[in-house]
Amino acid sequence: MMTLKTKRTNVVSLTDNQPGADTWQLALGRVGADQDRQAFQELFKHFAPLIRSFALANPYGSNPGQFADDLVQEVMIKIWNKAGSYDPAMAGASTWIFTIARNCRIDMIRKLSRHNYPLDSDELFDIEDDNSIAPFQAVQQRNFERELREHMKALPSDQAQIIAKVYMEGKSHNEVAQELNLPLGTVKSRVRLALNKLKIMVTH
Amino acid sequence: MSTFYHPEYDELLEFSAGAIAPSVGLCISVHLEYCEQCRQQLAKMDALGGMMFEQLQPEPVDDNLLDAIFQQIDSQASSSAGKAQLDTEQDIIPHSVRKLVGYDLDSLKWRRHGNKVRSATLLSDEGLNASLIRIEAGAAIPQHDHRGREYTVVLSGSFSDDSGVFRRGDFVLRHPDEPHAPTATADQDCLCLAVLDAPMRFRNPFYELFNRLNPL
Repeated sequence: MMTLKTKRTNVVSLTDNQPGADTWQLALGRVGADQDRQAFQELFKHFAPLIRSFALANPYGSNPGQFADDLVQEVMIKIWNKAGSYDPAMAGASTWIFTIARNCRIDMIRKLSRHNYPLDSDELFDIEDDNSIAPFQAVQQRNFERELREHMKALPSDQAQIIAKVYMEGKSHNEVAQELNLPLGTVKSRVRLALNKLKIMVTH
Repeated sequence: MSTFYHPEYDELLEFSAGAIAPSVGLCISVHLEYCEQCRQQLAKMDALGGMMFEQLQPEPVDDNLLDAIFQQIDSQASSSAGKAQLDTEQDIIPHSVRKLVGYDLDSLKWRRHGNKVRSATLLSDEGLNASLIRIEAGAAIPQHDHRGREYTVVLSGSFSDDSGVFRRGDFVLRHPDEPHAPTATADQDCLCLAVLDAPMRFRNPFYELFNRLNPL
């Protein structure tokens, strides 16, 4: 492959190791390896507004703005602290940051609602496995993410709406059904259709 | 390791979206430790979440927030390095359950249900109740069904009922009014994580009393 002539080609080691790694993966790499504040600032500029939007999709309490700022702060600090463990072979930058935002939002809501729950989301979601991902799987996952972006464009709006509610508003199928005034079976079948179209379903 | 019984797609999706009740989430988390296939499935679903996230309408953020974040970064202890892992060999207790119970199962408050079945509650939330259930080798839980759903993940040993044999890591969901009588296989005790959203009820009138005295 020809060397990419972008202004980031000076970060040679990372680009070479991770062909296809995008700007944000590189920025996370620089934060993780060198505590690079410039890279962190770029990440902040791009992702903080998305995290804020994510918070406002399902805010808790009487002051959504405050809730959103708190979530941004909490997620960005986690990004700083955990960037060293980010592995671009396992997930795109947006995916990784989404999972952090998801966990933080759950835990913040629980804390605010004084729900006494002994296990925080990082513990629930950090699946302890042998932790090795075969190289071909990493390639598969990256290809999958690329294709997913294409498939998403073709997703009918009634299906996309439900997926967005589940993911961005953190609502169960049941809650979505009630909110949209649809039978639960309809919600579930639209989800299944969507997962099929997005090639997420594999046969067990 | 591969298991044979998995969560449904919609449950895994709710897990990935963080939209699932914590107790059921715990069962899925435990299953994922054992199931490579579902881990790959989850990675794809998380990518879907990432893509939805990427497409959100950005909401302007106050620049002062960045300063506040840098301040907090500067003030936090520099010892935020990775936590040491306390791993023992052949530990049968999954990572996520271990966080709740530690390593010592005997230190839990076990309740007896007859001679050969014991249970210990781990957590309750939103009407769901997660407990560990231990069935001695060869013993059975009397035939029962549930007013609600019952999720089970096998942690060690295995059990069987009318619908099959369930081994370590298998994820089983029973719907209301599906009577079953799980029996531990004869070679070893069976330990399960079980989540109920309503107490179980026994079929045999004799056990009605058992029922009232010892809700599992």
